[in-house]
Amino acid sequence: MNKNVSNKIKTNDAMLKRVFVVMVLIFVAFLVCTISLVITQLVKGEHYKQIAESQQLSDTKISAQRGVIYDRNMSVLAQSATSWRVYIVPSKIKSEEAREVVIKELSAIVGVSEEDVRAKTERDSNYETIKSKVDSDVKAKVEELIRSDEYKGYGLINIIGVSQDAKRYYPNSTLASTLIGFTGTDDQGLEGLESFYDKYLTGVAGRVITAVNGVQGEMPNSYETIIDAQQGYSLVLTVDETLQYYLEKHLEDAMEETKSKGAYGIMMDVKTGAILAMSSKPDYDLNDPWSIISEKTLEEISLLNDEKKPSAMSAAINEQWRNSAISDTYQPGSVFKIITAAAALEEGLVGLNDHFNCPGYIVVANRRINCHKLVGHGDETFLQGLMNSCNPVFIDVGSRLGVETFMNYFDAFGLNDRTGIDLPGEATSITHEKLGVKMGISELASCSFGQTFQVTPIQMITAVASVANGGKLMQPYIVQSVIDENGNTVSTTEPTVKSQVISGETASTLCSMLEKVVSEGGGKNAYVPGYRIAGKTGTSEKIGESGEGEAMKYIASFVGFAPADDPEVILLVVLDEPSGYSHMGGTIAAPLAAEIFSDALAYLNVDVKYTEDELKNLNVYVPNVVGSSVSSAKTTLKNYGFNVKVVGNGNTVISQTPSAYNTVSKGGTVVVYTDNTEARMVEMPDLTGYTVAQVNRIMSDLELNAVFTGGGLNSSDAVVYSQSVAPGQKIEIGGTVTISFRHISGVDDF
Amino acid sequence: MKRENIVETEDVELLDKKSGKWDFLFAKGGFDIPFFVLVMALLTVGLVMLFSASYAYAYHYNSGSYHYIKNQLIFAGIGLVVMFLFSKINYRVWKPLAPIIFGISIVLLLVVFAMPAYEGQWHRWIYIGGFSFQPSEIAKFAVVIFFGYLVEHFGSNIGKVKSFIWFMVSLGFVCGLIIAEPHLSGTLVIAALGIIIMIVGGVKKRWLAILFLIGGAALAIYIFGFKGIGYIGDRLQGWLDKDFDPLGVRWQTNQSLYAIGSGGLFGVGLGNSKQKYLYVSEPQNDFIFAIVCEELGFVGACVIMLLFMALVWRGCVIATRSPDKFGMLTAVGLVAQIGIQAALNIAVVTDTIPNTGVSLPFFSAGGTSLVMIMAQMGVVLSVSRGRSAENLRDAMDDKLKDSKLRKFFLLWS
Repeated sequence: MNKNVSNKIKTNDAMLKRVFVVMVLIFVAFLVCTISLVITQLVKGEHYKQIAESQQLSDTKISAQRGVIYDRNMSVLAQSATSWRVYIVPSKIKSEEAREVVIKELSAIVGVSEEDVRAKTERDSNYETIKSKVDSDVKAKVEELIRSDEYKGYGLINIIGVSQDAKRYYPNSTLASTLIGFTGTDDQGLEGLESFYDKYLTGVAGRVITAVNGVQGEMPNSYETIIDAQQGYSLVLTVDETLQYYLEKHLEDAMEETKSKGAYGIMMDVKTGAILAMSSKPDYDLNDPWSIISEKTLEEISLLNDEKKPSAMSAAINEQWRNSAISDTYQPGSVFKIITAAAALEEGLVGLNDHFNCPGYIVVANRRINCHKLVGHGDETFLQGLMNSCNPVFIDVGSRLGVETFMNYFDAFGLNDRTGIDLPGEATSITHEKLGVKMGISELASCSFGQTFQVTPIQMITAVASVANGGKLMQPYIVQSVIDENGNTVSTTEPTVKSQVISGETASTLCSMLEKVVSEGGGKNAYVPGYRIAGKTGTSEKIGESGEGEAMKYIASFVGFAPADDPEVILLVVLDEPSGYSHMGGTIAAPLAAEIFSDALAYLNVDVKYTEDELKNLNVYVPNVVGSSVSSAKTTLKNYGFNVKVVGNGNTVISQTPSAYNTVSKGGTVVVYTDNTEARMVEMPDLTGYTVAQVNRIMSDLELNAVFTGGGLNSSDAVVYSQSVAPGQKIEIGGTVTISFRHISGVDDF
Repeated sequence: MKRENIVETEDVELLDKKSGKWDFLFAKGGFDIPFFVLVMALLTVGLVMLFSASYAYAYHYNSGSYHYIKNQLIFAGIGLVVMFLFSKINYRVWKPLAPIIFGISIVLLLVVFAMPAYEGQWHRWIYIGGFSFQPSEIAKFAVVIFFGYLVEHFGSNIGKVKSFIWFMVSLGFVCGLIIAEPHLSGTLVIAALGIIIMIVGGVKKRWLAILFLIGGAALAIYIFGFKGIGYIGDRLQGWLDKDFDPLGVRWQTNQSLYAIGSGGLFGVGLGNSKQKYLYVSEPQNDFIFAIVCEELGFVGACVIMLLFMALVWRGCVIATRSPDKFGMLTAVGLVAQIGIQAALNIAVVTDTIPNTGVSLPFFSAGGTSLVMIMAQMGVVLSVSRGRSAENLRDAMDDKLKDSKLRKFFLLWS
C-alpha cells in the first residue's frame, strides 16, 4: 500500500451504514429462527417429545409367575409353568419372499394354519401374537429359524420374536375345579379362587424398557431399564386333597346312581369354619375349562337343532363352572328342623320329652298340612319327632316360637346374610321378608320345617356347624394362608367367631338328639359302624320349578357331623333333582354321607369304637395260609374266626379263596386247596331285600364270603339294596361278594 | 455506528517504514482477538456437538463411532493452521487474484458436470484422490472477493449501468451453474452474498430493485416450473403439507422436529439425545442442529445462535475498521456467508423454510468445507490485522494491555 491511498479504494461513512444494515438483516434472520425454535421447542415441544418417545422406547413385559395353590398339606393344586409366546412384527416384513418364509416356517413350527399366519402378516401393526403358551422346544425351534443361515437376508430377527408367557397347570384336572377356577389367556383369574385371589396370585409383571434406534435395532445396554417381575403369592388352602377326592368320588357315584341333575357337597372343620372339601358336580377339567365333560350334557346338546346348539353349549359351559355349593340356593327341607329345634330349645319352649300327637296332618290357618307319614306318627316326644322328622311337631314348635323369634334365630344363624367365604359369586338366601311378603302363621308353619324359603348350601352348613361346635357361628374360609415365593407367610386366616347363637348346653342337647336321628331315626342310612355320627336328612320340593305336566322335582340332602360327642367334621351333601329309585334324603343322601364319612373319618384317624353287634359282622383281613401245612392253616384261620373248608387230599395249602389280604366279614368261610382240584362254582342268588342275619345264613350255606357296606348293620331293619356279583352269576366257593345295606323304612323325612 | 478509526496516511507510512521487501505479501500487527475467540468457540462447540451427534450414526453406517469426529478433528487441525496462514497473508493479495480465482471457480463449476452424480441426480462434488469438495464452496469465496474487486475497480462509477451489468452477468453465470447442479441453497447463499456486497459496495438502489425482481421471478419460475419434477417440488410440497409422505420427504424434517421438541428448555443433556439413534437422518450433517437443540435445549441453541450473531457482529466491526473497500467487503461477505448459512440451516431444521440441504458452519461434518471456512476466517483475521498497529496503541490504555493471551497472539504480528 502506498502513500497515496486513493479515494477509489477508501471506505466511506455510507458504506459503514450499509454494513450495519446487512448485519441487522442477518440478525433478523436469526430472530426468525429463534421464534421458530420457541414454537417448535417450547410451545409444541411436549407434543413432539411424546411422538419421539413413542418411537424410541420398546416396552417389553416380563410376566410374573403366578403363585401356586396348595392344599392344606402343601400338595399342589394349581401351578404355573414357564411357557412362551411367539409373535411377529408385521411392519418389519420388507419383502414378499420374507413374508412367505414367515408364513411357511412359522406355521410349521407352532402349528397355526398358514392362512392365519398370513392374515397376521398382512395387518398394519407392530405386534401380532401367533401363538401363546408354547413350550420351550417350540421356542427353541423358532429361535433356530430366526438365526438360520438359510434365511439370512430376510431380516427374520426383526420380524419374529419370542417372549415369556405363563401357562397354568392343574395336576388333578377336575379335582376341586369349581373351587379353584382357572385363568384366561392373559393369565388372569377367571373363576373360583383364581379369580377371587387374583391380585395375590398374579404378582407384578416386570418390564424391560429398551431404547430402540431408528431402524429398530436395540441400543447399548445402558439404555435398558429392567424392572424385575415380582412373583405372585401362593395360596395354602384349608382344603385337603384326599378329603376332596373322597367327597367328589362319592358325589359322582351317587349322582349317577340316583340319576340326579347335580350333586353338591361341603365338608367343613366344625371348630374353625375351615372348608375341608367342597364340590359341585358336574364340574369340568381345569386344564380344559372350555370343554364340556359331562357326557349326558353333550348328548342333550347334540339332540338340539343347530340354531340352539351354540347358546346351549355356552350355557352348559357356564353351568359346569358354577360353584353351586355357594352360588345356588335350595329349600333345605327337614335339615332345617335342626335350626327350629335349636331356637325352641334355647328359648325353653320345648323339652326333649315333651309329648306331641301326630294324626298325620295339622291345620294351620284353616289349611291342612300333611305329615309325610299320612297315617300319622301318633304320640311321640320331641326327640322322637326329630327322629321321625315329623312335620306337625315342628309346625307346633314353630308356632310356639312365633314369627318374630323365629326370624331372629333365622338371622342369628347367619341365614339372612352371605357367609363371607373367600370365594367369588356367593349368593344369599331368598325369604318371604326379602321378597316383601309378610310372614304370617302359615308362612311360619312351612318355614319351620324348611320349606318355602331358600338358602345356600354354605349358609346351611355354617348354621348347623354352630350347633355342632357349641353354639358359635363361624365365618367359613378356604384360604389358610398366603405365602410368598420363598415360603414366608404373608398373611394367615384366623378362625373368626361371628357370634354365639345358642348356648353350649342347648347345642350339646341337640347334638345328642341328632346322633339319635342317625343311630336310630330317619338318618340311620348315614350310620357308619365304629363312628358316632349325628345328622339330619332332608327332602324338599322344588316348588314352582317343574314345567307343566312335569313331575315334581326334589332335592335330597343330608347334613351330619362326627364324632357326635366332640364334633370335628361337618358334612352337607345335596342331590339335585334325583330321578332314580328314590328322591328321599334319608334313602339316597344319607347313604352317600355314610360313604364319605366312612372314608373321611378313617383318613382323619378318628377313634373307632364298635358296638358288640358291629364286632360280630366286622370285616376282617384274610391271613395268608398258602405254603403252610393244612393243620396249621386250619388253626390260623380259626383263630381269625373263619370257617375253613379243605379241598383235596394234599398236606400243604397251594392256594386259598379268598386270597390273602382281602377283607371279608368275620365268620366267613376260607376255602383252602391242597391239590389242583377244580374250584367248585355256585350260582349267586338275588339277595335284595334280605336282612343282615338272613344274608349271613345264605352266604355261609353257599360257602361264600360277604363284605358288608352301607348303613344300619347293627339294626335288623336294614336290607340289601345292591350286591357286587349279579344274581345268576357263577362264583367260586370262598369268593367274596360286597353287599350293600340300606334302611328303606323309617327314613322318610318331609 | 461511528467511524472511529480512519486510517491516516502517516500510519500507513509508519507501518511501511518498519516493513521489508515482502511486506506486500504479509499482514502485520495483531489480529482481532474477539473474532478469533468467537471462531475458536464455535469450532470447539461444533466439534463437541459433531461427536455427540455423529457417533451413533457412524457406529451403524461407518467404520466406527469415531468415524466423523476423527476426520473432523484432523481437518479442524489443518483448518487452524490454514486460518493462521491466511491471517498472515495480506488480504490485499486477494484483490489482484480475485478475477483469476473467480475464473477458476467457474471452471470447477463446469468440471462438476463431468463428475459422477451423487445418487444419480446431484452434480455437486468434485472427486480428487480420496478427497471431495464442492466447487460451490469455492465459488462463494470467489464471488465475495471478485465483487470486492469490482467495487474497488469501478470506484465512483459503481452507479453506472456498465458496472451493474458486470455484477449481473458474473453473478447470474455462477448462480446458473450452481442451480443446474442442482443446488438451490448454494445458489441462494451465493446470490445473497453477491447482493450484500453490491449493497454495501454502493450499487444504486434502483438497480438492486430490478435485480430483486429478476431474481425473484427466476426463483419463482424455477420452483414452480420444476414443481413435481425432482427433489425441489417434493420438498416444497413437504413443507406446505405437513402430512405429506411422512416416511419419505417429511421423514427428515419430522424427526428433526421431534428431536428439537424433546429438548425443551434445557435439553436432555450433552450426549443424551435419543433422536440421533438413526431417527434424524444425517445427524452429523445438515440436521446436526436438531441434535444440538435436543441435547442442549432452547437455552443451548440460543447460546449457539448468539455465538453466530456475535461472529457476524465482530466481522462487521472488523469490516468497519478496514482502511479499504476490498477489506471491508471481504470481511462483510465472509462473515455474512457464515451468518446466512447458519440462519438457513436453523430455518430448515425448524421447518421454517423448505428442506434445502444447507450445512451448519463449524458444526456439520465435512473436512474440505471446514478447512474452507477456517481459511475464510483467516482472511477476515488478516483484514483485522490491517489495524493492528493502531489497535496495539489503543490497547496500551486498555486495562487488558497486560493480558497474556493478547501478548501471545501479538507474537504472530
